[in-house]
Amino acid sequence: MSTTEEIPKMQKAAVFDEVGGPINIKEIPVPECGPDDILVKIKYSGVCHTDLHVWLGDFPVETKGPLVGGHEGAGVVVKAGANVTNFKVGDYAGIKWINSTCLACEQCKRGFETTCSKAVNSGLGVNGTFQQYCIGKATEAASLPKDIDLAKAAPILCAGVTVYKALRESNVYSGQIVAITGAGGGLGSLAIQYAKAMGLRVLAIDMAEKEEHCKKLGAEFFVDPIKAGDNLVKIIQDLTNGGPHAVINIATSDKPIAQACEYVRTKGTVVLVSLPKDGKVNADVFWMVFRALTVKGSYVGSRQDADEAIDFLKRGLIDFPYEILPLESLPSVYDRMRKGTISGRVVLDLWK
Amino acid sequence: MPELNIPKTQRALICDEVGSPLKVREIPVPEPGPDELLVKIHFSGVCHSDMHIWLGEVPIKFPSPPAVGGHEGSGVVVKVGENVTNFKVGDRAGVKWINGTCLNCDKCKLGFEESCATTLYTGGTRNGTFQEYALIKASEAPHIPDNVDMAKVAPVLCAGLTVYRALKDTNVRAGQIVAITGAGGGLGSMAIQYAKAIGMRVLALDIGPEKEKHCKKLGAEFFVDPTVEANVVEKVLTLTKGGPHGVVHIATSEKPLEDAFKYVRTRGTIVIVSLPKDATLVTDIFSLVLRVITIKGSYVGSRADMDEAIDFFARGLIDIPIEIYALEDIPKVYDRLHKGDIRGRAVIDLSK
Repeated sequence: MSTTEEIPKMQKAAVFDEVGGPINIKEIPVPECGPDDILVKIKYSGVCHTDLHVWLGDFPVETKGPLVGGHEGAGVVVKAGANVTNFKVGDYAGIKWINSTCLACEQCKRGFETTCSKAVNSGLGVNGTFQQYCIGKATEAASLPKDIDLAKAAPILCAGVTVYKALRESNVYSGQIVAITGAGGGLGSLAIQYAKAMGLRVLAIDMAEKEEHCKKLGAEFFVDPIKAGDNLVKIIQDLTNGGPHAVINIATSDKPIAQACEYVRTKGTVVLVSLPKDGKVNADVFWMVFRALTVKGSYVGSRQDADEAIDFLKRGLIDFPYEILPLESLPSVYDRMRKGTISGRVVLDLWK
Repeated sequence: MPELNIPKTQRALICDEVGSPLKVREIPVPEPGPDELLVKIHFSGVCHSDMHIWLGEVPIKFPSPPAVGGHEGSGVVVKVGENVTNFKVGDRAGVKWINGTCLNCDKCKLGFEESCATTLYTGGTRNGTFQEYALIKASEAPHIPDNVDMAKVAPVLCAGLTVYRALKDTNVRAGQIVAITGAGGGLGSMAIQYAKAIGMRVLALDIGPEKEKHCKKLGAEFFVDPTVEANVVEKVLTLTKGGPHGVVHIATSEKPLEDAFKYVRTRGTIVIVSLPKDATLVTDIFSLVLRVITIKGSYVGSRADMDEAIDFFARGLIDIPIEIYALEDIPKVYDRLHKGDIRGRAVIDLSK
């Protein structure tokens, strides 16, 4: 075990004691680093809608306080456990949603460690990245390039890898059109950029106020479903000459999914990413069969996916607006998130 | 061009309008267009969708009734249009659901011509195989090898094709387990056989000891009866040690599909084939995303799939029981189909 910087005993963290209860910025102990863990000094943490869902108790999982949320933490390794071979003190590292996995079950053996039966989640099963020092299993932590902008790298650790993987899962190839619902938000903005980097043409779907933002990021087409009303399907199919080849559903409600099943191209794929509370897929079986549609869930991405997503950022292909705010602003960030008024991503500076 | 002795009129089962009593009448023998074949039908399978169309339960309507249903016809070419190059008089040919496509749109160009937007449907939008002489575009008709049983090959043309393609769509590999709902019926029986031929292990779901015996005889390794089993999901999970890697849903009710969402293995694929009236799929987004489940509608198959499906049959790997009936018996067959009484396939003998 080696350290070069003095690690304090106490640290600043955003903690909630009960689901939906107040979020307090307080001093808590710096966690102990186990033999397989790294201790990361979190410089920046992105704020993901999942963090909001967890705090509100929206998911059908047991959530027990006191809990520190957050799972897009980018920082520097300050301590490495005795068994750790893939990180050393001073390396840049990311702590993401998947904090640790067993690496021995069927899912892990296939490279699908996100669906490991023993996966532990940052900000849910263990304290997450809304704290100044966070632990994660070394085999699961993301390796970040030395000169990368850590504030920009933070959102890649969940939003970036999730949309990158979702785009691959959609089986759309270069030159084809992918529609993205909720295109103006954190994941949506990244999805537009990754799609462009992958040679895809983008139809962005969001509220009218987000049009300029989406087009600036590279969306070729934009549709506001409220304005389109009953003509949504026809408008989209006309714009795309028969429907987009795939739809990535990031908007946080059920209705866009049913609409997507109507306007997606025959033989197309609808990829579900967002997790609206009690959300249901409600699809007409006849048309699903007759048009040979695929509807699939896509859930974060593996360690390999994370490496690839980070590489796109490193090569300068991913650019998106983000605001840097102090940790104390977390409650107001959640508020804006609920209202859908954030364009791009909010990144918390743990040291401001 | 040689012509066999073709009569001016023929026997056909006529549907005057949706739901009307079905009667055998004499109608003219049709003339093939320049790119078509006239096929003397020896045998025609009876598909559940023929009944759905007759009853107006699906959005496929005959443009100008009275009309003739049926789309699993095996027979011999008796006349070819002047532009036909791939068939000659005397060749064996199949008349299947997809009767003709444009061959020029992106679907056709990609080898998915069954999803072509301008498709002719045998027994759906043009007269089908419940008659002695039927038409099909030469480009769409499959060749039938000389040495195969014409009564037994008829169900391969739709039931066989559909389940073969559905099994491919599950992405289940040899050695993995596929669950088949409604495994004892026409499509189900074919599915068990094709799955075995591909090297998959089969878990059959259906009702009653007769179907159990039938399914096991055809090669199912496991059998679960949802009306007998207290907890179907638990039973399937236990038998398959974590869930089947794929599910082909053929049963015509919704509960088996709901169960499938719960027992399919994490990252598994559920392929929907059956088209019960007004069926909707309602499932929980959270579970779909976190378990990374894929749902696919699968609809007949392409000409390439058809050739492959016939090849498995011709090599003796597919053998399902058939019940032979006369043309006038179709209403009785529909009744038995509705009650789920037919094990294997009903085939109409038009060869006399």
